[in-house]
Amino acid sequence: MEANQKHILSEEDRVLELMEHGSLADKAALDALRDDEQLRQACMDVLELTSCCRRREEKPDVEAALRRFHQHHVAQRVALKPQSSRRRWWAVAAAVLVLVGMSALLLPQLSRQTPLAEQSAIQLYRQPVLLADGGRKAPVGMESAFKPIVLTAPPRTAGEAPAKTITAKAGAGENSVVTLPDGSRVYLYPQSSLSFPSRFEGEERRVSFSGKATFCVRHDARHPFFVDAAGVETKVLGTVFNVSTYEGTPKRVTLISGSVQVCDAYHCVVLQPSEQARFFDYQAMDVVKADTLTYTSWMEGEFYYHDVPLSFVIEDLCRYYDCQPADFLCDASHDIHVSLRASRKLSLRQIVEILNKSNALSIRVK
Amino acid sequence: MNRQGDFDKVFRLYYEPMYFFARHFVDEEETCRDLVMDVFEDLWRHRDGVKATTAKSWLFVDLRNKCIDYLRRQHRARQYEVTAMLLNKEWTENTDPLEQQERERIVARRLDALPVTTRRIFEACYVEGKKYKEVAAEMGISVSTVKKHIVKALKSVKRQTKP
Repeated sequence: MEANQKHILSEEDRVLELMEHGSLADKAALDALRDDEQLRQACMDVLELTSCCRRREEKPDVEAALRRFHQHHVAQRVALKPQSSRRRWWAVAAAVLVLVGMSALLLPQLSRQTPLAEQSAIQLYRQPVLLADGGRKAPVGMESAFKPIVLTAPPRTAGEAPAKTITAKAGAGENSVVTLPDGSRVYLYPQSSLSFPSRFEGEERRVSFSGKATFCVRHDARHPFFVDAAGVETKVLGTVFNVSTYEGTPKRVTLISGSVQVCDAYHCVVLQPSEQARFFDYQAMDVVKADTLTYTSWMEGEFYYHDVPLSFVIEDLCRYYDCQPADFLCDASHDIHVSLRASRKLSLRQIVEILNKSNALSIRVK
Repeated sequence: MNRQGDFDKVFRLYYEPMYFFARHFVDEEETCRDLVMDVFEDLWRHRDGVKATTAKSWLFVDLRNKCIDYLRRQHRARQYEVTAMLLNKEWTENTDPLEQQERERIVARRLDALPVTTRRIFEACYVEGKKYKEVAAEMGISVSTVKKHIVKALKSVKRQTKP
């Protein structure tokens, strides 16, 4: 009830005074709030109840926010693919230029590049790309030498059977090296599978693949080599690189040496040696520096990890030794960073022993 | 936090609690969404250095700073001194936003048990942000009646959730 007499404010009154919207608390009230735990709790109750009421009306769309977030994060160097109409124009123009054989017409675009005398073949890209934002043509891959194209592929000799598709698989714990019809070699990691034709025909050498592998591709500028892996296409110009598309991890293409152009449905980027293109959900991708020692050591028969999360190492070990992450009993969190260098010929227990010694851990295997 | 999905997991886990945390400080829904996104931008830039296990404190401390900076830029810092003191650094670092969210969900169910008028008055004062005098005038009742309803709302909800 309204009373004209002054009385000491009850706690309720103080709470109401402090929490009234737009009220500017004086110093005394703030001090009281700082020191009085019960008063604070009572005020917190107001905040809590207010939040409850708000939640009925306001429902933020988390998935939409996450999508929007990732769409911002496309690497600057990464070029967006052009609209299909532009693609056709480019392909037609290139064909015309090539048919006429007038490489001189290409000079304006190539003026920065190697002089005519050094050109020996033009690479006809299947995916002419790099219309960057604003319609600027940013020619990707122009760093690599241009050579004049051979217009026709060698005709198939009569009587030759059409090429058939071969699939090579590496199961859990298996590694294999596959030699392709052109002499290229593919080093398959465990749980990977590679499909390729028994004979490469036409202008392109194409293989498709899932899992993880290191490719050593024979250089042949007239026949660009393409790797299709889970929606990521890597175009190769004679080079050594690694493709990793295990499920549940970002798809990665790491260039060890040479030159590759990597595309998914939305972006393309040319990698420099030691760079890695990563493809995430929501069309997000980026390019980071990678330690290529881990891949080259693998080809030489070693595990090599430097300062990576323990969970990575355990996952790879499980694929190689055909076990489960749950088989590893470890006090430390799997987020800690570890290093490891060991021959792949060793048993799992021996590897874990080395892992423990090198990182002062005490992991046990069931 | 360089495994794919770690960032996304953290985003999905904390986006909502962060939004409602920001709402205590800033009255505008869109501004709060922007502030939360700014925090995740920061996290994205630093993701290799932040562990998934400690991301929570990192996020809320960053968010609190951004809210207060925003209010300062708007010259509205004084209005939120009480909130800033209640949701201070210590509270922000030590409270589990998911537990908080769970508590609020329980309380929300109890809200339905309140008489409609009581709930409406509470919402008018704190969710819509009107002064007690204003609400009293709008509803044709005295200020002390308004206050009585608020106290009633707080008591009934509190009594039911405290053990």
